[in-house]
Amino acid sequence: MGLATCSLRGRPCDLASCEMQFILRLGRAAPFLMVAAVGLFLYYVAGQFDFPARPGRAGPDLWPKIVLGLMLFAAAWGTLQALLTPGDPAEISLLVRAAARAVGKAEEAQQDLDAESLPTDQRQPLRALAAILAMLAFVGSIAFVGFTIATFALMLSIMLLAGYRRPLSAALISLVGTICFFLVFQRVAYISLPLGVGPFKEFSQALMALAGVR
Amino acid sequence: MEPLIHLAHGFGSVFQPVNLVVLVVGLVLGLIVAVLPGLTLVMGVVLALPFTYGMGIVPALILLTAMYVSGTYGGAFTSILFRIPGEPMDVPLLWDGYAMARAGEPALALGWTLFSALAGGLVAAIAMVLLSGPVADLALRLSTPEYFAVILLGLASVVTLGGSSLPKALISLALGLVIATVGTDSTYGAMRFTFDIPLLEDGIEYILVMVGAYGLGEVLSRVEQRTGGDSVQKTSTISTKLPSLRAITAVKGTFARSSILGFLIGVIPGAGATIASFVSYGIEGQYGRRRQELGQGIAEGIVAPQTAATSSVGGAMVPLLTLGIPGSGATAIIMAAFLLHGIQPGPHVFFKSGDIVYTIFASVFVAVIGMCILGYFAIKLLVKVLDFPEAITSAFVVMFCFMGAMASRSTVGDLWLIVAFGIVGFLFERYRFPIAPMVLGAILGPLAETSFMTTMISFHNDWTVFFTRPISGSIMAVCLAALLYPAYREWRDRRLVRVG
Repeated sequence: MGLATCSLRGRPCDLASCEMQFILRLGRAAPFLMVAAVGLFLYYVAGQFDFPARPGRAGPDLWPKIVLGLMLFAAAWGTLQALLTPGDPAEISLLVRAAARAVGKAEEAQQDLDAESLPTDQRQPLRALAAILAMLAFVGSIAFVGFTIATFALMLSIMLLAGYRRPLSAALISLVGTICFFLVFQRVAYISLPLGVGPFKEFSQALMALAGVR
Repeated sequence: MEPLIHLAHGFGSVFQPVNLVVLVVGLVLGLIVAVLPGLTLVMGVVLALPFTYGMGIVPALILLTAMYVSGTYGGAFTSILFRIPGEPMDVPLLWDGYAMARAGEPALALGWTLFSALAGGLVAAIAMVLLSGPVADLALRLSTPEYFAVILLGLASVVTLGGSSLPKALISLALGLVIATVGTDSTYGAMRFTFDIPLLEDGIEYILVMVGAYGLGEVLSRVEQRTGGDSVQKTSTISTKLPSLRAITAVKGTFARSSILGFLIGVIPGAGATIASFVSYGIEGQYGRRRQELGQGIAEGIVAPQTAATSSVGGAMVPLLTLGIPGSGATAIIMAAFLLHGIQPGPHVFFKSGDIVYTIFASVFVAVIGMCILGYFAIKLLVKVLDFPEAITSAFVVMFCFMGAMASRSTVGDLWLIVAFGIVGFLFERYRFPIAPMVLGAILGPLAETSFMTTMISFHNDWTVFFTRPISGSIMAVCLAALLYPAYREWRDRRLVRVG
């Protein structure tokens, strides 16, 4: 295998693994770059605030600009850190790390703290995306289909997406849950719920009549 | 003497039937959320917040405080019995608590946690009552530059001690502070970051940020990891056996060290129960009488983390009630309950509405004792909660979140916002950005901006005033040190790894 001088390390290395390293680092920098883009956009927007300027007096744009400056600084720092250093920095508190190290349990502590969280490559982002879509569909449809049907559908989809393996029980639990939430909203919290339109409205009204709500 | 009279009135208020019922409900809920897979303490307290809208301020605060207190104890059950830490603060309990349980003494291990929670909680509650008055008195003398510096120090320590990389924590904080600026500016009437969307003109309610990021974000993260199908296999014999008086006397040094340490760590914003628990265990490993045996299932290994974790609750209440600065997710939610009732916690409230503050103090005492009684008698029932599949919990959590958003302003627009913050919370968890600084930024942002702008107006835009006045200058120097030291440590650690 031929070794060439690497632009990243400045010494001979295997180019394939080096390119892979660079891509990994770029991936780590991506969230910071996104934050920087959002921060820059908001900074620009802060400069366009419409207000009657008073000479010698700070305007309503000053505080947001300071905060966004902090955000941009942090994003630049994070980007440089991600691009220039190998591996992620430790993600546990300085004091926790020091205490665990003092009793010789640094690695154990990290493992126990991470026990509930799967490594990124073992996760299923499409499921999370589906859950987000289910939530958006709930919010988007609640005015048309009414609270009860939207709630039933959302509870069922979340349960199945979260790995519940018995669809019939899931449907039954969703039904019971929907009725409970409906009663709590209408009879305890007195919050008006979207009833839906057309036949959905009639259905919601029938349910309300059953629950004794006018 | 005066604090004792106020405290007696506080106890009188807590023992009113309604408040007592609310306290017991809070204790049970706190224990359940600490045990239930798929729920965390902060998430549980957030989900309870919307239910306090219709309550008076006293029962609302009693409910949330009781949940916060008992939430630091419930996770001990699952850590000791099944090696499942309910919260990060319970991790040190795995090392000796679970080891003691495996050595055939699970009941005694549970007894040690009960006693530790009781001792730590009560010592911290006493310290909280004694310290709060003088701190509030001191806080009253602060003018705006000093107050801004104190808020900044609170935020800086949350960023520093949060357990994430500094740039990520700073971004999270900045995002929270930006969220707090959205809406119509109160001085100039300027629209800030509203993008011509009417919903944003009134600003973003911090409850939507909290419920979305902590509630929906956590559910999305768990869906992505698909951990929700199974329940945990459990042992059938679960009971608590209290340690003997002789055994307790033998570890009195550990009790004393951990109570004081836990309280002091609790006072520091951003530190909280997890750091208290780890540091106390670490100190026991360094200076404890039986440090060589630590990790093999000895009482000191249970007493140190549990005492400190419960003790930190009393400590965390001090900056919240005297300065109006919450140091953790849970205290931020308690602060939100204050704000929802139109009260800005701080030194003025401490002296003007002392009855409310001392009722909270009294509720901490009663909650500590109540949670131990509940923990002793209801442990079998509580552990049954583990049978509940996480997927079902997730579905109910999602609905509770939406319910919270609807109860806030009854507009569908808020539902869009809560989903947006759910996605932010999910992305934060995925890319390991901490959520707490964002939530604290959103809740403390208006206060920080007001004190900053007031200072700028009073001192003719001279920003150097923050550094030239003795008290604010000193606090700013501590702020800078708090931010720079971890950066230096990180750089040094990396350098050592490179050299090594």
